[in-house]
Amino acid sequence: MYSLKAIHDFTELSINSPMYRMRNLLKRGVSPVAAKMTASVPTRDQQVSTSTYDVVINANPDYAPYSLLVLEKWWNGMIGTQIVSYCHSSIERLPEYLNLFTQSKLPSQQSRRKIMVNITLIWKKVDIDCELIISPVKQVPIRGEVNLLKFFNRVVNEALGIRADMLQETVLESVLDSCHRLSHSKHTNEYEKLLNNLSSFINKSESFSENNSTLIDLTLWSIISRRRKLSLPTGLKDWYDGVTNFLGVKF
Amino acid sequence: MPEAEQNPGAEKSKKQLKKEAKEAEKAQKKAERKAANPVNNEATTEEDVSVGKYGNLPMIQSEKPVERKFIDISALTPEVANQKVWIRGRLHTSRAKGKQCFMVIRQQHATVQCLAAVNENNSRQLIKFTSGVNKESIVDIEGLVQKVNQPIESCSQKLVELHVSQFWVISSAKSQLPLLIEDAARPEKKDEDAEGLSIRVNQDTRLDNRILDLRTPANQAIFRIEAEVSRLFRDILSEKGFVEIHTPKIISAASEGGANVFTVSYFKGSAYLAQSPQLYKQMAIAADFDRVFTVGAVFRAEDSNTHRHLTEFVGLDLEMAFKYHYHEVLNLIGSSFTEMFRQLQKKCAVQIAAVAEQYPVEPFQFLDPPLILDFKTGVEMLREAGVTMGDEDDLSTPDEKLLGRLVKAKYSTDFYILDKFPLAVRPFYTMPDPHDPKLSNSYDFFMRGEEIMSGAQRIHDPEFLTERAKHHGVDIEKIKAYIEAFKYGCPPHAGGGIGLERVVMLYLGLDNIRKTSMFPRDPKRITP
Repeated sequence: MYSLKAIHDFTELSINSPMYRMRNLLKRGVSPVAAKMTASVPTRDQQVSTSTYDVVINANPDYAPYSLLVLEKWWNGMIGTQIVSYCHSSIERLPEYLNLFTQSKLPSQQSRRKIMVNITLIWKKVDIDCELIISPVKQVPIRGEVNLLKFFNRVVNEALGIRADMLQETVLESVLDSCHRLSHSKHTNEYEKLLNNLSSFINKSESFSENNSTLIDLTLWSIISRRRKLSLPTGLKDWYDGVTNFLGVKF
Repeated sequence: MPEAEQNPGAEKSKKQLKKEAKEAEKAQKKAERKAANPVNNEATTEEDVSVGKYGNLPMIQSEKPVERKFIDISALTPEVANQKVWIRGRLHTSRAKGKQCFMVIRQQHATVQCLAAVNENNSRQLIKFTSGVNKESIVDIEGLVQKVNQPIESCSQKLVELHVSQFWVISSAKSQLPLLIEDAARPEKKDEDAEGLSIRVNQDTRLDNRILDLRTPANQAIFRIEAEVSRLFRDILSEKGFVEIHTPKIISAASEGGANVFTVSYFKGSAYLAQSPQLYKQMAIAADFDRVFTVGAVFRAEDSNTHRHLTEFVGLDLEMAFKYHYHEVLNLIGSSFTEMFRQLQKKCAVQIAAVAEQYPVEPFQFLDPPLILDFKTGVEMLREAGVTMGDEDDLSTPDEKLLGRLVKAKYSTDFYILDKFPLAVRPFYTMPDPHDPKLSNSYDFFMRGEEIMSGAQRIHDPEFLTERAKHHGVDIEKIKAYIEAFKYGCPPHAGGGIGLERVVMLYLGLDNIRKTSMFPRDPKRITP
């Protein structure tokens, strides 16, 4: 699938098993394999009053991970984010549209906040996929915005004790795969084809609202935002505008 | 008396006698040949069509002005093809083969291939003369620029060569060179080809013959980059409102505690060589100069024979008054560095590439704005990597290097700042942190995991300074002049100093500071 790299610590080296990509369909909830993958994620036994993560995200200015801007809003204050952005020496000058990331506000002091993520965002000459680095000693980077959002989703679900529905999870994974492919599509034809497929999925689903949103909405919105100047299928356009309005992002 | 001195003739061995006899025979044969064929010899002399086009020029004493336009070797490109030009350079290599002589002429970092061949304009004598000139001699050459079919990989000017028509020696080098520039300039590749030449010139031979060593393309580039660093330091700070000051190098008392200073005789008494301009920078702040910097020699009598210590180096020091928070200074110094790195990237790209050719190293990476980490965060990163250290311990050199690698892996930067060092590991004049008495308002700058600058907010209150000095067990009498400087009111200020050679060494990723000091001074070397 995507170039998902295992996040593991040295006490759980079984992560190298090829099984880590498979979901445990027999057991509901978080699979033991997934728990190993997210060794740095607080487990339910731990106190999760406020867990702070200092993470580094390397991103290519041409493929900005817009979802970072709205993590706090998306998870309704469960995740607090603070972005400090830097320009790496491999980039001569940052385009102006990335000022959005430097105008990041201080995190809101909501009492519901369980996870605080301090993001060091480095604009660097990297691949299309951004890289999430938590600890260079214990973990390998998580590559790709889709995987990054899945990681945050898992952190939130763990913190809130949410058990995922396996059927829904499988559908989610499959659509997120398409989103990942969309982010990598180089030719307009390929991009449009994938977008049409995703558009039909979105149109078949319940319409987007604050109470009815999934990780797919956030992921797809972020990937489309990179190429927002390209025209969208009609059904998708309304959906995109709706999500943009909800997130309050002004490009 | 030894036997040899009594009878010198007896010392000659059979082998020597045989050799002498052979040489005598050879000379005799040569003379006979010459006598037998006098006409031919004369004919050769007569046929010299190149008379007045080669030879040793008399020593240039500025006898009369000569109107002759020279072109830089670096400007020899296909655009000037088919033009006759004059060049001046050093004879880098020369190889005579039959009626041809191939030479490479070098001017600073640029090299071009020259070809002298016997033809209707060039005599055999000209070729013979050119092939006999010693390497490293300075020569003037007139020649026709010609495009080549295949690029000449061994020269910097790959697309053209010069067909020689005149060849004059301006200054001849001795035939025996202590080191060959070719050897001194050979790239240091880790995965050395077993069959390739691996002749190296060691550091001491280089430094003993620094004039020759400095002629290599890498050294030509290093010292140009160093000049640029020094110029950028001046320009960037001047633009930010700093004033350049010059501080005395002969001082009456040691500025940093007393140890590690060179004593010099001073008339009937003795004095010291300044080991830091810090006191004078601070006095300038107390005298309302607000922002000052100085560039000058700094002397350290430390018997450290390491890759990064010199006993004399060029210090780039700055001091700045701030309004309320020392981060005003920290951010300014940090951004000045970033600006300097950016400009070096642009202005010295050719030179950086020339150095990398000989000393392959990963290009210097940095972030803009610079990364500032708390000392505490650094310690946590080290602990995560298995280092055991206390909260108030200073970083050892291996810890610094490890932290540099960890920071590079996580943040992709070779340049970062550690802030808020424990008060216990900093000098007495460091201002403590307002919230935590165990911490201080001090910072270190790092490049490629090595410290390049140590700075802090200085205590500007004489009473508090005295208290802190007593706490550290510093003799108040010895630092009386330092404390005096703050008696008549002084703004809060902070600053720091860097070593020019160390910054250049780390920017280029070189392994020894002696490579970035033109004539290095260390405990074992005070010449040349």
